[in-house]
Amino acid sequence: MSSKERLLTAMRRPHVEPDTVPISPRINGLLLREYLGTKSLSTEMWVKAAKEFDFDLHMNPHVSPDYIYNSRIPIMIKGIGVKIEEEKFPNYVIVKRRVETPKGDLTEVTKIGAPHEKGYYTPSPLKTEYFIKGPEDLEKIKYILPQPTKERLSSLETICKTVGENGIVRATVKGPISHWEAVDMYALMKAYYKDKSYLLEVLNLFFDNSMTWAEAILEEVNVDGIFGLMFWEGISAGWSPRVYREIFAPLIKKLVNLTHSYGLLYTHYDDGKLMPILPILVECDVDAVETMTPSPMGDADLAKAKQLYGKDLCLCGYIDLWNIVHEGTPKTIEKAVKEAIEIAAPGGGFILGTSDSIRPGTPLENFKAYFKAGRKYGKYRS
Amino acid sequence: MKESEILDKLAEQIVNFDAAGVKSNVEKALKANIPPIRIIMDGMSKGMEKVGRKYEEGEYFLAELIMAAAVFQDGMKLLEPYLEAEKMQTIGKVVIGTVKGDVHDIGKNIVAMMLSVAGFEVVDLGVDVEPEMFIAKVRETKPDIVAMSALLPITMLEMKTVIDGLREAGLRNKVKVLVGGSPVSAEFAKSISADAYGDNAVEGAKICKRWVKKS
Repeated sequence: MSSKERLLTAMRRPHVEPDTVPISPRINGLLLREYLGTKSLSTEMWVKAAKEFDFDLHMNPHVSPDYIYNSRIPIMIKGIGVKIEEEKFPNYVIVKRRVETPKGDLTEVTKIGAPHEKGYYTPSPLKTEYFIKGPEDLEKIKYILPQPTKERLSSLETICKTVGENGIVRATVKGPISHWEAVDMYALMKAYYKDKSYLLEVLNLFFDNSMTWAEAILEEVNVDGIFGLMFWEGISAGWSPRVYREIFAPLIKKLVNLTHSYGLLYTHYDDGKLMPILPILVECDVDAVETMTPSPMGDADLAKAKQLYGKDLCLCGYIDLWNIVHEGTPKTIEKAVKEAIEIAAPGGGFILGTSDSIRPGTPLENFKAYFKAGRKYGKYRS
Repeated sequence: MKESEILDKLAEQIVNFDAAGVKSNVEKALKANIPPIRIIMDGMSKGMEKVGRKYEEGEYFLAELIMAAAVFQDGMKLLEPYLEAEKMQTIGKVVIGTVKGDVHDIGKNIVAMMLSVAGFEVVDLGVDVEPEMFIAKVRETKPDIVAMSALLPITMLEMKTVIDGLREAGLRNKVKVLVGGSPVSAEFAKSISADAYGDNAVEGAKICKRWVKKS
């Protein structure tokens, strides 16, 4: 089987076993650059890395521009003025943005930290003031919601062509909160109890835009599926399963139905705790769930998840990127990979991955041991 | 209505996020000459304790904690003018923050909230806090406890830097150190010479209460 066939076979329901368990971890680009000795990482380089290290490539490009979330990306919309001020401090930068819309100004402040000295991470940008402070800002933000463009869609098509049979390409579609971060999460949580109609208006505003992108992508590009990015909507972010079922599940279901209407597969991404919401994702008809993060960062009980939801959901991820892959030894990595495969691989519906991106600084021998173990224990008998 | 009935109802109203009910009952309690400190400690704080239990039992999540705390704060605002005369004693002081490189604040905020309603003075340094800032604040504010949070396995290593810094500054034996966050464990806490690990926010607040009771 090609990597694409292998991954899609593992994801499609009813599950059947591919030739071998797909190995498709999230890998930090900096790490791959370090291993490959390159300065930039094109799709061709990812394909090369997949062949060299023997993994099944998945790419989940962000097609919609992230300029609302990321204050470093310019907002270039006709008729909209944008003023940016930067204040530099020894370890961080404060970026203040003012967006002038016909309905009034939007303002936002972000603190951006310096990258870790060893390149392990760069702190996520921290919003200290959000674009949306109340209902009066909703009309204003509509002017800067990104709309699909031919250029964006065609660059995604190029990625799909380059990846070819070496893997799958799922277009990342943002949840109503994740990767927008235009509103204070705590304000949204309070709104659930104090002003639910406002909360729903905010969620629908952003999610409708995500749906517009999803429709355009599915209509125009030969992707293998949609990758729903929804970690700020999850229980690790503080929403209860009850609230999740009430306000987020209907949105997920909408995106899943749209994806299925094109005969494609939907993957749900949440790198936090997942166990209590797995039954809800089954109800939403989600095809695959990633990252199935184990303790201590997450709560994944792989055996229980396989037993209860293994028929309905393809389980992706699981191996702890830090405690096992980064901090472990080739021997402990082999043991963890073997155990995961023994638990979740039978019958198909499992993609060996990691709890998040494998970080820079991970010893090369560990990195190689992970793939070697995956191939060694991943062979199906039939 | 009896004094105990008013206070019990107030506690329930906090649990049910009933802001209007809390307002009316606080007013009723004041009219009944219940001392403001009793209204807080035997009414609203009891409600927050119940909220904490529901959180530990998995019935309430962050959204519910935030909502209960917001209703609690509304009640506190009504009582503030009366507390001027009758100064409320804090039970201790905590310097809290998420360590350098980490901007995750959910866990840290819950702990700060639980400590605050338990009667601690909380000096919240926010997120991505430099080790030097922790040490400077300990020197400046002389807290009983330093509480540190991290969500990333990599950033939790900064907790050790803070503890080492406290030692070098001659401040380590003046404070208890509590650590917490998803990747943190009791073993890790021990390995970096922290005094305790809080598995969750409510447990963290309980540990802090135990510490100040002993001292």
